[in-house]
Amino acid sequence: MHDWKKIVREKGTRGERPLPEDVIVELASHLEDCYEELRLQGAGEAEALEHVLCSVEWQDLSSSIYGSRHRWCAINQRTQQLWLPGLVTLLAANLLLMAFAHASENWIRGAGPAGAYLLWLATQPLIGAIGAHLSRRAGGLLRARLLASLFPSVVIVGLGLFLVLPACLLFESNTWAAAHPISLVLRGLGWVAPAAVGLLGGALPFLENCGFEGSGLSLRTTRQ
Amino acid sequence: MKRRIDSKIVRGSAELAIIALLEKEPLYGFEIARRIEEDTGGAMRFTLASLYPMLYELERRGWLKAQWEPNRAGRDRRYYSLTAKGRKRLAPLRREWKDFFQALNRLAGVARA
Repeated sequence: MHDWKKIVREKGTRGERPLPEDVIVELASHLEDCYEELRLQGAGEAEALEHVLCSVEWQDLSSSIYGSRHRWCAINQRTQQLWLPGLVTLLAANLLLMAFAHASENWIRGAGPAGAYLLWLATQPLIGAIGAHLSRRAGGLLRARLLASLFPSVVIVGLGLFLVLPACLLFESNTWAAAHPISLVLRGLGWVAPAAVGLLGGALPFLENCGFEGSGLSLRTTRQ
Repeated sequence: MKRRIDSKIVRGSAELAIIALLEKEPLYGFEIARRIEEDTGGAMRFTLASLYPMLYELERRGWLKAQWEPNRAGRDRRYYSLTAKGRKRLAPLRREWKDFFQALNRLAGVARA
């Protein structure tokens, strides 16, 4: 008589993630059923035991069961596929903008803000490519890759529409902004849109082969 | 890339296989694995490490519910049954797979192969 619970507890636990007791009982029952079935088919005791134990991928068992039972793993996946690459692109875009602005004031004579902006625009494809690449590497699908690469533009548009514009209108009593809100939005978009195009251009090579969305199969993105 | 799509297909088909099987009656893990293997002529097989994480995830999503009950031999087994949410998900999943096979058939003539 084999102690199946002990076997599962010992072999299935890896690192700091012990299997929950109810899972151990369930997996032990499964192994016991497999073993008994093999015995009924005529396998010897040792042969059946070896076959049952070898049929289990013990290395993956603990982590895959933990991941399937805890919602944070799904959240963690979203963090890896979207938020982290997005944060990287946002940081890179802002740091480069500051660096070029600083350089245009101090080292590149005559460049001015327009020169700094143009230099910054030239780097956007690289930033978009990095975002999409990081998302793809983490298993991100089309939407995640797109959002990760366009993240700096999305954030700037969001900040402009929901923070800067209302602040101008409400707190600073900005009369020009109050009189021409559409103009203000269009100017902002005129500044952000070329960067978004650059980011998207860089991301394009990393957007291929990601037609399957969701947990099941969806053909929405593959239908033409 | 190919490997990722393959794993998606395997995962999606496994989900459909499980919930379609449980539509008929509640079953426990070993029975689910055995029935799927038998009904597919061995084409689809679950290992311990692939079956239970999927069952737990479907349970977490609310598609399945599980409860301990004695089986025919009187041993306690965890029986999985389909919830109303899981039942609702079955029809769209079937439709998606039907569309998928039709698309694949148009492309590669799978049905004639």
